[in-house]
Amino acid sequence: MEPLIKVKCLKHIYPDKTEVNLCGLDFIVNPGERVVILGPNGSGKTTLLSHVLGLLSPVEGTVEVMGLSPHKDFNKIRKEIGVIFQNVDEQIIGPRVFDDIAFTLRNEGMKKETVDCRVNHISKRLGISEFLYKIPHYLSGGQKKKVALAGALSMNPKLLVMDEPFDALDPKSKREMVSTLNDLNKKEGTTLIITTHDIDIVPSIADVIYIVNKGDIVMKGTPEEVFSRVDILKEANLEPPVIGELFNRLRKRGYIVDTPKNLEEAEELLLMLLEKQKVV
Amino acid sequence: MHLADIDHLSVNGNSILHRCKVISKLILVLSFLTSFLITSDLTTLLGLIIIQVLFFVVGKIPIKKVIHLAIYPVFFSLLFALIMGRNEWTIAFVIILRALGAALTMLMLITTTPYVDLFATLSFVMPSILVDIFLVTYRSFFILIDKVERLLKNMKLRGGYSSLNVFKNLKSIAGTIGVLIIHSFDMSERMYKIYALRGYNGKIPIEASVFPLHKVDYMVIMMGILIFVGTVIPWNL
Repeated sequence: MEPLIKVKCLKHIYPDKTEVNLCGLDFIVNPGERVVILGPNGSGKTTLLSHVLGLLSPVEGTVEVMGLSPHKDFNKIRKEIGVIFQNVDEQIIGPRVFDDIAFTLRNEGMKKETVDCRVNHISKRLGISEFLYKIPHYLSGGQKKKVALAGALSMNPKLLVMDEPFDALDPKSKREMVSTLNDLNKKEGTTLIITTHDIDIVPSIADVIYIVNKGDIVMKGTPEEVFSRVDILKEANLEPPVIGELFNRLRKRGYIVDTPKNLEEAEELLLMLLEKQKVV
Repeated sequence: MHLADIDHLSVNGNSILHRCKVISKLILVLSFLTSFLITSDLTTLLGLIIIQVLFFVVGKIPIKKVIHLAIYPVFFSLLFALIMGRNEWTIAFVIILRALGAALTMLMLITTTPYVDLFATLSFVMPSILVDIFLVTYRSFFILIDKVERLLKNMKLRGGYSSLNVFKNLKSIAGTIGVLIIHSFDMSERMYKIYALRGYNGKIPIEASVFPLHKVDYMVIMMGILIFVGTVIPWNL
């Protein structure tokens, strides 16, 4: 299968001469994958995303999205990518929620009926129909994130890129967001690229994790593989999820257990362990 | 009374004026403004202001909440009135009442019309770039207001404000403005990139619904015409 995104040894120099060298492993994303990028502040996560989106041009290295250079072929790539930035306030353009969701659709010259139909469909799906005609700056943080997501999904993108989408969300909104994104990935096959600091949420949203540290892509793997490498995580100022850490400790004590992906799996595994004990 | 309150009144208000189409309110506003401009008769001006207040009542606009916004133009007109009306106090009053009337007219419009609808209708006669500038400025304003509030709170918490030391306060405020300017530059750059990603091609597409006009719209337009005619006829007699 041809990868959707290929990034090789990327180098970027900011106007203040700050250099970001994203070397080490190649950043490769296959269609339909859910990819999470983890790393401390200033490690180069946002720089990597900006290159993938075509907002920056690399000084060295190559960036390919759907076989094209995102910076050169910005207008071709743009239509296939949905984006949610960390500060959604700056992303919401439309004066009303409806106008914001319809922004890209109208810019693409779609007919009013098609625009209305798509906006209504997306807003129903994300549960934001009730405030379609509200002014965005009076919405809560979670609602604004949903509006931004609706705007990003309006063109049915193949790829959804999200920079810290769970930032400033309460636990319920986080769960809703995770469920929406997983649903989208499962039903529509949308490829997801997410950067986050919320490590506890990662196992439930990631197929592949990349660890970025000091400008290097230092590790790639499944959540089980990555969260079992506590040394690499700690070096990158990251802590494994609480559940992962618990099962790591159990393994160290000699119990043969896999790393669970979520709370339900953890419960099952622990029950199995306790059952064995019961038998013994 | 802040922008947010005006937005709240215009979006959530439920009155005849709120239900009117923007175009009919614009005609009413235009006739009010023209009437205020063309008459120099104190009684007519007072009459127009009374009618204006009645519109506030009809529009269910809490006049106590918005009246202080009309004070700004009145204050500036006061300076002008003092210069112009040195020999005749009626001229001074006319200037002040005109300013008050114009301010009340605009307040009536913005408290009964969501800004989006207003700009959408104005986009028929204004260049789209101007409409976009207004829309984006309005949106950015709210983002920056949040930033200013946080900065001011921080300034106070970190001892940058003292009620007795004006120079210290000025220095802190100057610093705050500096940070805000840098932040707004950064923000505009980020916003431009986001707009480009979302397909911005030089126009924010918004929908304006001008027609069909309803009974209430015709009533408001008729009122506008009557106000204008009522102001003009005695003036010509």
